[in-house]
This record gives sequence, structure tokens and C-alpha cells, in this order.
Amino acid sequence: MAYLEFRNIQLKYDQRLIFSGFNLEIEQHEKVLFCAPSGRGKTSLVKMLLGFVVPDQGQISVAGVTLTGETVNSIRSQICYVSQDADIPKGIVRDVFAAVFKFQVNRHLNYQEAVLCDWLETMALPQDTLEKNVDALSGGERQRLAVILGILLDRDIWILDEITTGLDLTLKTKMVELLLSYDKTILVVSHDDIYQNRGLREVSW
Amino acid sequence: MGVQEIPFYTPLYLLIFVLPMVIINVKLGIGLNKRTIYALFRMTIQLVLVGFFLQYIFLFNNLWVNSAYVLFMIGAAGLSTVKTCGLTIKNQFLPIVIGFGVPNLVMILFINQFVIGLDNIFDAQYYIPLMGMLLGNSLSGNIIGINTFYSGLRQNERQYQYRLALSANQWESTLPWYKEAIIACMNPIIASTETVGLVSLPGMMTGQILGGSMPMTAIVYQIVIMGAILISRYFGIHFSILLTRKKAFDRYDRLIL
Repeated sequence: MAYLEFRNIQLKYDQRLIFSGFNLEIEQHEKVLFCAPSGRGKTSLVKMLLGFVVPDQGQISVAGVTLTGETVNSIRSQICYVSQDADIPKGIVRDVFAAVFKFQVNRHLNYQEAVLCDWLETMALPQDTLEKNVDALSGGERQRLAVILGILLDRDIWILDEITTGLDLTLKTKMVELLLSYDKTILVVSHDDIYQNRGLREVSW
Repeated sequence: MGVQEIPFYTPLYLLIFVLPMVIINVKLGIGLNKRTIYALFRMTIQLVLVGFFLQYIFLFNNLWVNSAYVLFMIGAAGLSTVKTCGLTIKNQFLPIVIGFGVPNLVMILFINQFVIGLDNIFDAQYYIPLMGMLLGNSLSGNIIGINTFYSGLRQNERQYQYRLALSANQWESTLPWYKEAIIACMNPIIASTETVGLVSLPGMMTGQILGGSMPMTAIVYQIVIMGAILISRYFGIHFSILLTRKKAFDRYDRLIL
């Protein structure tokens, strides 16, 4: 049994059949690029993994566990989801980070603010970002914070949904290289050429 | 020192002033006449009916009759909340009714027993009007709070999902909107508690003074009722959200209201 499995998925969205008899298997530590054309449900597919979208038919399993109402929370806690709009919680950056690591499932991580400061530097964010309100940041800045948050959460599966939008080429390259260097199971949703020739398995439908 | 009885026909004298209102409205084309007349008419009929009804209830003054009337009030308030907030009666009526019925019931019986010290805590004279005041306030608070909670979640679905992804726990993920709901519910009552007596004399106090009570007596009652309203509104909104949310999400924590 593969690490991640979509079996015989059927999904309707707005009366439109997006997936029908869809199958996909992904091995552990595999890095996959979903590059299907727009409107084919790439984001829906990754949201199915998190239980935000529930297929009309078919089965999804993560690390040998079938996704159901009972298992969805334990499955979510293995996945780090960075979305294109980076909806990080509202508030002052420092407090937002502290709060996320106070969530029950993240408490074991032993988060230190100093580590966040190092990451701000790596991601070319000024140190005073810490004091700023999330609302006052630019889309690109929020994006990078969400990526840092994802790295710090240290979960086994990463979903990166259009995370390069709004970043310049240098930063983009740096970020993608960094993220792909991690030994995680990584699912990327993107149309960006930046992922080409980096050894990702391309999946389209 | 009782209140001066009003003969049944003298309230009609007020119509003398309604006439110029109607004329001004017609002259200036202000389309309020129909609604004004209808409201006055309806208010009169409604209150007369309630008056007859209450007369009988006060006559019996029986624990079960009084409690049945209180339950009826709770039910009506519950129905009004469910409708105003766009919830489904089948799933959410009972949680709402229990959610704010219980704290208000506990509060009224506590007041009657320990604060006022009545021999009969189900005495219609205290039980029904005071409960009416508590429920009326809890009702408006509940509507604000429940609306804030669910519409906040609905409008910020992506943010909510992101929090779910971070925490994998529905309670933690919804907490920002839960807090917002409690604050929205409590803000108006805190503001009116702060300014009571300065801006206007509260209705119950006015009524008691008209009824012949000494102002100090009326004020002590007012202090009690203001405190009770604030407290039961607070617990009412917590319980109402906690109970309604059980059926507001599916097994995947998605809002299904």
C-alpha cells in the first residue's frame, strides 16, 4: 500500500464532475508536482487529503489509515498545508506563532522565538516583522511566514499550494530549493516553471 | 400609595397627537402613516391579550401554571433566535432553548430565593416579569452572538481551514470567532450597564416608582436585575453556542449550517 492513496475518487463541484474514477498513489518522501490545467481541481485534490473537501465516492488513505470523520484529525496533524493566500491567523506575528505552538497537537515541538528570528533572516524578512500585525504585511511576506511556520511544524507531509505567487525570482528560487531539500513527502500545486527540472514527479489529468 | 388607575378609554386621547403626525406625513409625502397606525393598533391588541392572560395567571398563581408560562416564553424566544439567525428548527431549536433557558431559569430562581428572599420563589408577581426581562435581554444577546460566530466562520472559511490544518482541533480552530461572538454579545449590555440611570431611567425602575415604591427600593431591584441580566446573558451565549455547534459541523469539522 502506498503512503498516500486516492482510490476511485469521484467529486462533483457546482454540478460539474471534476473527478471520476481518479486514482493516484504517492510513496513516502516522494515529491510530486500537480500541474493539471486550471479548473481541473488541483486544490480540491489536496483539500481532499485534509478532509476540507470530501469526495462523493472513493477512498483516501494516508500512511495506511483511511480518511474518515474519526481519523481526519490525526491525519491533519501529519500534514502541513501552505496555501496560496496564506491565511495565517490574525494578530501580531510574534503572538500568532506562539499561539500556533500552544495548540495541543504542536506543544511537543518546543518552539523558540529565536529560531523564528533566524528564519526571518533566511527568508529575507526584516526582524521587525515580529512586531507587525499580519494584516499589515504584504501577500509575499505572509506567504514566507506561512512557509516558515510550515517548516517549524515539522510534519511529514507538505502541501504547497501555489506558494510562489508574489515572490521575485531570486527569492522564489531560494525558497523552492530550500523546501525541496527536505526529506518530506511534498505535494506541490503550481503552474510556475520554477519547479521544472528539479526531479519532481509531474502529475496531470 | 398605589398607582392612579387609568380608565380604559383615556389612552385614546393620545390619538389627538397622532392626527397632526398623519397630516404632516401626508403633506410631506413621508410614507409612515400605514405602518404607524398598524403598529399602534397591533401593540394595543397584543398587550390587551397578554394583560387578560396574565390576569388569570396571577389569579391562579400556581407553580405549574407559572412555570408553563415561563417555558412558553423560553420557547418563543428560542424560536425567534432560530428564525433570526437562519438556523434549522429541527436541529437547533432544542439546543438554543436549553442553552439560554437553563442559565436564565437558574438565575431567576437564585434571585427569588437568595437575593429577594421570597417565601414562594415561583410567585407570579416576581417570577414572570423578572424572567421576561432576563429572557428579553438574553434573546437579543444570543442573536448577536450566534450570528457573529457562524457568519464569522462562514465568511472566513479559508482562514478557518488553515487553522484546522495547523491545529487539527475544531475547538482551537474556531476560538477566534468564538471569542468575537462573546464580545459582540456582551458589548451592548456592558455599555448600557455602565450608563444606566445617567441617560434614562430604566423601565422597571420607572414602573416601580409609578407603582408606589420608594426610589431606593426601586434602585435596589434595578441593581439586581442589571447584574442578573449581565450574568445570564454571558452564560446564555456560551451555552447556546456550545450546544448548537454540536450539530453545526459535519464529521470533518466543516460548517454545515
